[in-house]
Amino acid sequence: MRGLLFTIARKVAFFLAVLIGVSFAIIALSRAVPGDAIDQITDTPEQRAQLEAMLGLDRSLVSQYLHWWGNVFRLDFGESWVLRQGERVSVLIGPAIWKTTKLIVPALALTFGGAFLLIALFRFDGLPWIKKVIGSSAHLLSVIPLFLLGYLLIMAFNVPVYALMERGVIGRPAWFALPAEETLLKYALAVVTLAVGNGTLSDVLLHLESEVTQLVRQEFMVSTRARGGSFWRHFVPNILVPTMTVFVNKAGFFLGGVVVVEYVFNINGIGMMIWSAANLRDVPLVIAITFLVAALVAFLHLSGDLLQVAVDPRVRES
Amino acid sequence: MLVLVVALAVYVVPGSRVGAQGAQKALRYAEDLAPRIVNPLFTTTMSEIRMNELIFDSLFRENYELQMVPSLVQDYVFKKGGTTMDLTLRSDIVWQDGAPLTAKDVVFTIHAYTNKRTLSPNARQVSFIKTATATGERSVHLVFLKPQDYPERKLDFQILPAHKFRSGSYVKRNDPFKNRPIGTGPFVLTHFGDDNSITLERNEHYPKPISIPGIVMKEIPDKSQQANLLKYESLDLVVKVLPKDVAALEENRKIELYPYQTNSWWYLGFNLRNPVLKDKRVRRAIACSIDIEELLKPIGTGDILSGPYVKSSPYYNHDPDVKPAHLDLPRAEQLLTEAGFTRGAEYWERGGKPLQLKLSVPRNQDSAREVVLNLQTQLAKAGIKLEPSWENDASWKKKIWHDRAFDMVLAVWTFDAKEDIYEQFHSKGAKNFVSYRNPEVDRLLQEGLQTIDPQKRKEIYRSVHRILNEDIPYIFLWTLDSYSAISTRVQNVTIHPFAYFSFIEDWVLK
Repeated sequence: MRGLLFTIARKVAFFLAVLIGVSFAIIALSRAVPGDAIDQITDTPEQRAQLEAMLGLDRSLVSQYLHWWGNVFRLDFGESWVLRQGERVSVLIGPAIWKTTKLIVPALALTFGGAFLLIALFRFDGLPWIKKVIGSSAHLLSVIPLFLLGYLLIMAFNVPVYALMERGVIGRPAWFALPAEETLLKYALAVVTLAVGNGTLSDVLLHLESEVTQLVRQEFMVSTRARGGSFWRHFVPNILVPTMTVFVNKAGFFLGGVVVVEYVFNINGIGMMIWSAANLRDVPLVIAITFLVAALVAFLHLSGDLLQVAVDPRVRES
Repeated sequence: MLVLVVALAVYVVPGSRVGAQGAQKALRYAEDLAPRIVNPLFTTTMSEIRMNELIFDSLFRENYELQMVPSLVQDYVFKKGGTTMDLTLRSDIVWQDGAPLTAKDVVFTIHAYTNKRTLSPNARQVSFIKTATATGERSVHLVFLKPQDYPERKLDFQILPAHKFRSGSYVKRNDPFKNRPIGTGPFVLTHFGDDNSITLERNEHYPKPISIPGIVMKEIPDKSQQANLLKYESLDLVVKVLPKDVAALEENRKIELYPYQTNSWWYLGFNLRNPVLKDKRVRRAIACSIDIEELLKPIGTGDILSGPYVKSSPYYNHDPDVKPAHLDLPRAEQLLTEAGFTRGAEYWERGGKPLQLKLSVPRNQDSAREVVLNLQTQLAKAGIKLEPSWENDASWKKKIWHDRAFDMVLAVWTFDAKEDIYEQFHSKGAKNFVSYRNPEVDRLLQEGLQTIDPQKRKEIYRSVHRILNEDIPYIFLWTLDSYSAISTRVQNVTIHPFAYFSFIEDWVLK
């Protein structure tokens, strides 16, 4: 029991160390990159010194870092310097986080759900050519880069529907034209793009297929099936840990992919916001978003590790 | 399969009905990046200037002939060459919250701009005013620092409602006004969307009837997507279309293309601190190695310039001796030889080093990629190696404005009606990053600012034009014809070359 508590404490300590290290790295990096926010909000050289004092750019790196943590403990990420001048960062990122969550969560569900469905199909006896066609199509679709897949999907809807509208066959659908309106269809296509493109589906499918194949070949699984025991009772806990590992890795990857997907589908989520904020050197916004994303990824890794501790006795004992 | 999905989407998938139908009653236009702040005190980008034009109004503004006429002002007394001006405000103007416009608003606005605690990037707009005093409910007395010949031209800054600010005579960037801005202009801002859109409704208090009931500004970063959405009637107006989209939009019978010339021009700037480029012969040789017409062709049409003004400007020097740079390879060879260069196998060389220059270009500059590729090819043919580097706006400004770490820059300057080039070419100018220094130009620019005689100013600036053409701190390239693409639903359209929406009160939405 002491060993287990020690393992958990070690993992939590590592999580906290990641947060401290990442936040310092982001603040140091924001000072190291060329250009600053002041050039974006004035071209009057006489105002530079005053603006530096106002934005805290005249402080030392350590002072700025400690000041930032002091504010974070009060749940205050400061004000946007450029992108939405004077607006609280917490007010800005709330709706953006919600929009990105609406993309990432269904996309992860679609990728992993889709991968398991395909694996189930591949393991089903019969229909070899159908399996081959579906498998090849999934891999082929998946290799398309995110931006291209996004634009192709938008065109696939806009072009024929506009042609039908022009001929008077149909009226103007409420979602038309993509991606101008905030509609369910736009989000659905963005989710599909994120879940499938850039090799995501293909990658997850190959990983999980290999894990499943190895697992079902294990002696205890073979003997369980031979004894007529419950296959799922053993299969689910044993596939959970490798799935969680792939899931955590992919979640971080998805957070990178949303920058492209949100740009193509014109969704003002975290991806678009950090892209604009970084270009404009809006440091408080960049730091807050990067910190929250890093915290989320570190938390997912921590959850994965703790899950492993919970279900795998070998890890507990080690 | 795809057909089935599309059919399903057409008939089953629910959408935002308000977004699709409500918007039909409004004029919908796109910006690459939404305004960062809606407050004229802190405006720096063109999207903010356009938004301000819809919400706010100024004491004087330009009419269709681009002459300054009273807007919020009823009467005024000013003697040419004088240092004072007395204004009487119109009695029929009210703020969008119903409060009347008073002299206090004008005085507050001037103080807010000039107060150092405001840190307004536009403080220079009112720096010619020494004092502003409310002498009555609607009367303002202005005293200028120096005699003026045409102060109406400078009184075009937008007026703010004093009663909406609680911080005395200065304004903070985070003042709540930015979320609930009110003006006296033709439209009222009613909503900031979390998709960065901004919704405006017609100002019912506006003294003139307005046809357009509302406006929706949408943020769409991709310009090609803007053009597509215009084609699909999801937008009514694209402020500036890419040259590659012009032909397709021209053919569309539901879209009208409006050419308009902005007060902006492209240039190649030389870093005069660079020992090689300090030599005027080298700069001239580079100019003689470039075919500007060929550079312009792939990106659109426009006027090739010989100096720092657009051709329609009164300050442009039309003297036939003041010519734009043009291709003349024998002259380039002669100049480089005189400067001590010899022609190597591939490039011109001096002291064993090839003539090699770094060109710094802001990444977000539309169409710059085509220009740079052509320029690189042209200069390579002439024996000059060009190494382009692309920087995002923040690092470009740092590199050019502060570090001066460049050989050449390709960029664009945009000016308002005043066309003041002091900052670019005076040796102490804030934007003189090429480090140009000519005492005669300094004197003329100073004189141009001080003179009250328009004819004399014209002569002064034409002289500046001639000297800059001769000194060649920049290779002046062109002013590009810009095209706005607007749905035929919108009629009676006139576009202001700088503020864009200045004449929107006369636009009609079918």
